[in-house]
Amino acid sequence: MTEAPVRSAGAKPRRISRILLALSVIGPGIITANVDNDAGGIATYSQAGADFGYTLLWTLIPITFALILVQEMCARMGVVTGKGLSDLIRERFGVKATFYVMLALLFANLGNTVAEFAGIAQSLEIFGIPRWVSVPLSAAGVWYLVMKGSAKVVERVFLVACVVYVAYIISGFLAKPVWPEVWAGTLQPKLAMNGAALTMVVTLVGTTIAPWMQFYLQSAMVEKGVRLKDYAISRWDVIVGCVVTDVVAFFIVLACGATIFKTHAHIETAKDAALALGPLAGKYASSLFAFGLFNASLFAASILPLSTAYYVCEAFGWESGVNKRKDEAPQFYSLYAGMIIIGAGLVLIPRLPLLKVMLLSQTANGVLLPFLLVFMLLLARDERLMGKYRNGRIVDAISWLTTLVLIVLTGAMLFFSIRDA
Amino acid sequence: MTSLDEQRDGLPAEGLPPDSFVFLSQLLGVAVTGSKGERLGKLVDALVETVEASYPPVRSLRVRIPSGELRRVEWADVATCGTSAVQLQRGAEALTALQQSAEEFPLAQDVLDRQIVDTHGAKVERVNDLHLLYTRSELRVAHVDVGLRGLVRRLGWQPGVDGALRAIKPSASYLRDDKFVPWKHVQRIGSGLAHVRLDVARISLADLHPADLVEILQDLDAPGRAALFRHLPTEAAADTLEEADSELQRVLLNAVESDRAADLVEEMEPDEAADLLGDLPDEEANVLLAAMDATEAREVQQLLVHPRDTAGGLMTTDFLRLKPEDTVASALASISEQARHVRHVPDAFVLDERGLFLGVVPLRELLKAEPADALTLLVEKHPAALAPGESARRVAKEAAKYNVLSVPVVDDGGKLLGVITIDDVLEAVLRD
Repeated sequence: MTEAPVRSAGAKPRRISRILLALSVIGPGIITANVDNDAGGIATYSQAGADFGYTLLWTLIPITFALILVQEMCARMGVVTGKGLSDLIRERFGVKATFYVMLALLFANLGNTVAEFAGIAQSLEIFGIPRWVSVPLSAAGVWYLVMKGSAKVVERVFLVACVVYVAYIISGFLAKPVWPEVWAGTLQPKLAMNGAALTMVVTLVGTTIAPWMQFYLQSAMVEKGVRLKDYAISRWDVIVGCVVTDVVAFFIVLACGATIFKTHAHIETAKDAALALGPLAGKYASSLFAFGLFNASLFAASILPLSTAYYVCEAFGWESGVNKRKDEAPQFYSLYAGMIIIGAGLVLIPRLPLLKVMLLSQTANGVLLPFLLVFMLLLARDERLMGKYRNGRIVDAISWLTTLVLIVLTGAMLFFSIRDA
Repeated sequence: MTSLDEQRDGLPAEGLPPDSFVFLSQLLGVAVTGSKGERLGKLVDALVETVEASYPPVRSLRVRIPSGELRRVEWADVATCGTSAVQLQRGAEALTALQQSAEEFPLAQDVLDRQIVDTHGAKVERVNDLHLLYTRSELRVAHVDVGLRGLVRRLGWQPGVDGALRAIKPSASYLRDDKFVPWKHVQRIGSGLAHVRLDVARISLADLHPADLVEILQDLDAPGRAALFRHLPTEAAADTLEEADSELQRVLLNAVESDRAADLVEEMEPDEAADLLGDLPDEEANVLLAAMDATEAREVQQLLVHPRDTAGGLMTTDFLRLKPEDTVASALASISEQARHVRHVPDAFVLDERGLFLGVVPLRELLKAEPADALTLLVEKHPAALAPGESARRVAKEAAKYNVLSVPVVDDGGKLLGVITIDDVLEAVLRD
């Protein structure tokens, strides 16, 4: 039992329970938004600012709209159908489609898990803790927390620690960027047609609109038992969450652009990325950055492998849940353990370029996204499933257009990357 | 695919041999042809009777015609049914407008890939395939396939996987043990947006143990969970609530109208009801209390005062009460009356008219005694009466020390407030 008893007469437990209650009304949208800025996210935004300055800032505007479009759709499907996304895909498209979607998701999420453990390794190396100590310990810690069923409580702690992102906003201002340049980069869409720039855009899309987040958000909506009549509030929760995600992303890019890009430096390791916080924290920039990255990585690492195991089991009808014994839910535990062991294990390969791996996992997200979107759009417009809450004509048209743009973008990325190679 | 089907045109379609089994996945997508072998469309679904209990027959088919629209074909119009084609006795005139009567449901749409409850194994499963029996020119649903082999078949890999396994390990249990659930043990959950229909007449889920019901409810998706819980009889629903954790309790109570929720809470043991209300947000708890019967509500509210893991929080106010002036015969009569709503019966508690606790009488002693004996001869002083503020751990220790199944909770003035039964202590101690 994680909740404190509300009924106790003493004053102290009551105050704690009040605080927990206040935290519990923070909606799934805001939580999802903060999990979204995970290790892969921080790495991607930092790299985008460090390599491209302010020139890619404009992409965050259409990305934010697309994020709102997609997440609102997921949240709505969760509330209307009361089912998770993998459940819906299985019931609507059958075993074959489900199998390939789940296989792709499993690999993409394994990549994301590697990124989270890479984030843990990188951040703690700043504090001088070698990765062969930090990674196995974190993996064991995550396992222990989840098995003890206290993941929900820890989630709240991580969430509060996400306030650290404010540091980027302050640092962005203190770095005294040339504001006209910032506005130009934000408002004038310009895209160089080369492999590096296109890959960065796909990576930005993939990290911001990560496929696994959509599964996570929809399940969170279902689990919270949001009722249809309360959906209007939830919709705002989702929209605010999306905007918060991208404001943080904007300032990470901005701060990196104003510092690292200006000095023509490059990000090779997390230490380099920490320079973006220099204007705020000075010599403590590394520590502040390391704390933020560690928190984000561990936060996502405690959610991602577990939720992946849930979605796959949900799709195939295998028993799942940490309250089940290992022999009752063998597939669930194998998937969960496999994700953690392989994810953490890969990070321990000597001389693996962790930052590259983190970015690559987000590019993979970006490539997978449009294909997942096709399934989501077919579900969201299904009248039998969604009734009068199905996608209207305009939303439907915009969504398909977005999907098309993403597919073209991925195609262009592949074409120019191969040409440039 | 199409070219093969066209080649077969004009040839008599091969039907299933009598008394043979076929999987639904083998039939879906096959060509539907007219009496002269002309292609009319392809099979997309089979509709089955709801009323027939054990092994319902297919009553009609759904056919997608080349224009993309769906049509209905009565089973009576089917001449032969096979895995390469379904041939009708008539031509295109057998295809009628799509309709579905209330007494039938589509297998592919409402059962395949969906969750069902295996009421025999008390488990929620996802349907990978349906196993149909063809006999006396009828196609009947025999089993649902919930096993890995069904998944592999749907992926189209069965020939390959089976062949490989036969070559490497012919004894593999995968090849022999199909995971089938007989249709008579299947509780459908149904589909659709607003109304999830259950065929409750068929199977009594209420016969399952409440602990099993809780697991089933947890494994079902939200609409199925709500539908199933709504259909449980009051007593089974209340027992299920007692077994559920606070999160599930809240979800379940939200699934029913507030009057029904209040009825269910009234039906629960008072200590369990107090735990439930204590875990709910104050607002929701007050709504429930207001809708409850006044005396029941007062009883529960009295228990709500005590913190959860203390003797007061663990005790129930439903226990056997006897008067000191009772004889053995009148005590037994009173007990058999009280046992209608009191669950813990091994011990009866003797109180005077002011509620002062005089002692305990084990039921066993009552049964052994002469009917005319006075009760006072049998009353024993309870060795472990405790104050309401004592911890759960202390309660467990006392119970273990004195080998008792229940522990009375007594206030400063010697009044009996309630009784803690050993099962509730176990739960609290295990939680630590």
